[in-house]
Amino acid sequence: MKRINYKSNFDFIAKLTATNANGESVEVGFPDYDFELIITSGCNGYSTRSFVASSIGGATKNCFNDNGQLHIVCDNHKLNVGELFGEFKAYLPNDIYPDGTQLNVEPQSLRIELVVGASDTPTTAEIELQLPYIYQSAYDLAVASGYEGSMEDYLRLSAELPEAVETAKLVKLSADSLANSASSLSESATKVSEGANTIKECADALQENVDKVSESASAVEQASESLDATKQAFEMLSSEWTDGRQAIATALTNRRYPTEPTESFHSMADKITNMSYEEGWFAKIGYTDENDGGIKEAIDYSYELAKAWKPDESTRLIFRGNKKLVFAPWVDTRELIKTNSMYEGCDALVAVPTLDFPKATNCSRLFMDCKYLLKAFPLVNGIITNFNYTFHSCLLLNSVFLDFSNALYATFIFQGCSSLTYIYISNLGKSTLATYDFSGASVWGTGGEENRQSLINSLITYSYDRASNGMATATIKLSATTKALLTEEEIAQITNKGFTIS
Amino acid sequence: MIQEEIKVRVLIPSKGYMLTQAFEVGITNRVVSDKVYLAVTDEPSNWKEITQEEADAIKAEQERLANEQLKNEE
Repeated sequence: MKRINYKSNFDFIAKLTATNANGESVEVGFPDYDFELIITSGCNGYSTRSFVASSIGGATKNCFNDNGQLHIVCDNHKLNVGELFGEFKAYLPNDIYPDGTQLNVEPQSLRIELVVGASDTPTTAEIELQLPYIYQSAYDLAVASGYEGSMEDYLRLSAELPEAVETAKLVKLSADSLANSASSLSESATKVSEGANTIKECADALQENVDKVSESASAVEQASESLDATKQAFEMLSSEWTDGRQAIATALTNRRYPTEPTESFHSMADKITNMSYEEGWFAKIGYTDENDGGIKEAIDYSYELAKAWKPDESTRLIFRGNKKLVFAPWVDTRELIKTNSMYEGCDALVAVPTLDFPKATNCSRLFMDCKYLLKAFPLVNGIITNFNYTFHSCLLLNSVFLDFSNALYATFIFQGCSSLTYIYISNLGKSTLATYDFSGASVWGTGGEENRQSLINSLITYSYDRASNGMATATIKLSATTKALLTEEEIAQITNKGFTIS
Repeated sequence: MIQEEIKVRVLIPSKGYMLTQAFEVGITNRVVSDKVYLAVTDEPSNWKEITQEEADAIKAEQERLANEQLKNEE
């Protein structure tokens, strides 16, 4: 028992011991749980004064951790004289208790007596205190949980554990940092991807522009080629122009009208207009400028009439009844639909040039009373419907070419054509016209085999087969002279096609 | 050697008569003839005999109508 004057402050080390699972007493050291040591003095520990040393929530009071041991410091303790008792309260963590804490209490003598007299040698006493629980060390707990290493290994590992924890914390920090970096990197990658898409869009737009430029370049190249072609054509025309002028000048000069290639076309045209008949066709039979038989006058007259012609139908009758017209001029008849009576009564008319009648449907009386007309131009557009009196009284007419595909009227078409030996008709019988009176062409087919062949071609070769096409009989009236030219076989061929010959 | 048989039907009026269509036709389409070769699609019944006077009258009427038509078109 250590004696200490009751008025003195004193301290002591409480060597805490506990019994382990093997029943062995082991030293615990500074507790790692909450505790209180209530020191009292007096008989059997009952006193009105107490002194408390504790560690609650890590906050120590009247004690400290002295290198792993519990060092109690009684300062101004006010304890009474007597033996000191200590009630050690251990607040052990235990989940089975509602507050999570199991309170174990162990009262015991501290083997320190407070006296009135002198104290023993003032050294720090070491008092053993028995803890009120079965002690299990961390190693014991680890073994209970399956740890199989030695205590030395456990202790070593435990010693290393803080550092490992610190290292793990650092690793976690690094991992977190890495994760953040990865996240940032992912965001950056997303932005890079978006940027790449933008770049791709720009590249596509650029490619489109490149394509357009390429197309433009191609167009420019084509235009350049076209320009080259135009240039070549121009050079050709220019060459032809020069050559043409030279040719005209040479021709005029050869006809005793000296002409330079550099002369204007108007000058050349005037020379042609006034050209002498001596070099023309009429010179063959002795016509000269001085004795042209009125030919030049007739031609000049025709020329003046031609100037008055208009291609519409307003002037189509300017020749009708003209007794002076000998040589009909060429005029533009391409738009005429009605050509009836165009030359009717031109009883001085000898010749007509070939006119184009692509739209004409009415040729009634076209050449009626053209007594001296030798040849008529073909009427073969295939759409003419009216041939009434077309060649009526053309006394000298010797040949005609006709297409009867749509002929609906042909009354007296050849009446009075006493010289008409050659008639070529295509598609005779194709229309609904049922009666064809060709008896006016009283000498059709005479005067040679060519003329007779025109009869055969018109009635057989190029006529329409009405019988085979289910059409009604058509009657062809021929002159006795023309009828007599046909053989029996030819008559049979004609009748077999659905034509009655009368 | 080729032998062919040609058949042509011919109508010849009695002496002093002419032939014309037996059915009604416009005067401009009426034919008056002294011999008719029938088409394969034609029949003898389509033709009849008329006297020469009747034939002349028809021709005269045709010319009259033609002249009238000419005047009208003028």
